[in-house]
Amino acid sequence: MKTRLSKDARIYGLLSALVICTVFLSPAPIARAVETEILLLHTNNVTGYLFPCPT
Amino acid sequence: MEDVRRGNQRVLVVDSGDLFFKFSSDSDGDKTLMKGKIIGRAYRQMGAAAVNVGCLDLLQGLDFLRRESAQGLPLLSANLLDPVTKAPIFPPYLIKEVGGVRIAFIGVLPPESGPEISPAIRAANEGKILIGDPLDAAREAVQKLQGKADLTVLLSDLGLPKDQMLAKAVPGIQFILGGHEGRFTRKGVQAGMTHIFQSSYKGMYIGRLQLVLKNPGNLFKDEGEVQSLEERIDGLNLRIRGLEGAKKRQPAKDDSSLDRSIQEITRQRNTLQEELKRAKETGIQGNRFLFRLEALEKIVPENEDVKKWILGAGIERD
Repeated sequence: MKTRLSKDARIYGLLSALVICTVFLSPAPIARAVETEILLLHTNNVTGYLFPCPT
Repeated sequence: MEDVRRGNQRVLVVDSGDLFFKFSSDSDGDKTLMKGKIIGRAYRQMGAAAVNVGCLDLLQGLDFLRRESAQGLPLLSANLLDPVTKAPIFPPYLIKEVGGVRIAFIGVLPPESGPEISPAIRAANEGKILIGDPLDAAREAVQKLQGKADLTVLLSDLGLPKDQMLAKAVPGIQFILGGHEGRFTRKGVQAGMTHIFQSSYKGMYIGRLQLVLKNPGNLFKDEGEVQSLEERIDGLNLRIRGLEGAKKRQPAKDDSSLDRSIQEITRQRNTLQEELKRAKETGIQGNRFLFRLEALEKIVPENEDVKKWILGAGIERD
């Protein structure tokens, strides 16, 4: 015997399927690829020298 | 500095100590102090992020350093203490936030019991300072910084052997920018998880430590390792070619020893090539650094302001 679903039941079924797809088939979160570049400029043992020394 | 900042917004200038005065004090005390003041002013103008107090910086007495600090020079030291309160005279550490990364700088100088604290330093600071143990001071600072900083850099005036000892005894320091000896560091020294560098002396070179941070809590890899391996491989290839050339030039001669040498060097080269392959694969991911020394004389033109200050003070040479 062929049964026909009511319009509400069909919409309910469609929405349920949509929710299931959204929850279980959504793409995995993309890994963040943020990198920070920092430059440290370092001196030591300047010892009071003001004028350039030949290197 | 302005040029460097224009090209790279995330730049910090730091000094490990022994900035102002040399070991053998000038006979002219006024000139020594004048030079010290000009250097302090230049570092303020550059916007230095942190300047560690080295033992030689105490040669003209604590009051000089207090004045520099009051004028805005960011002096720091975790183990230079007030003899009465036992509290640090300058901040033990400073935290700078750059590009969303909190970088902590801690400063230490050699212990009072060591030979580095000369009679001249003692005489200039009689009753005004107490120098605590640098390892204890660094350990305490690292503990206080937990949760406050993403990256910890120690500015040290201890010298390499003591820096290595400290790095092993006090985990949680990623880099030590050291001094006292004024070594020329072509490649950093690793102790525990810490990478240690020095940047020569007399202001001849500047150490450029380029950091790329992905996850500040993780270990850092040396990008210079690739370059170093490539140089070593080139050197071995050169030796192999030289030995093969010698073999061709003397075909009649028994060349079993040459063959053995070629085999051995080829084996070494192949091992390094494997290392290079691995370093290239792992080096491009995660936290990494590249350190190199650049001769200041060649890359930085003289600053006209500083030149005027020096001329105005009547100083013609060091």
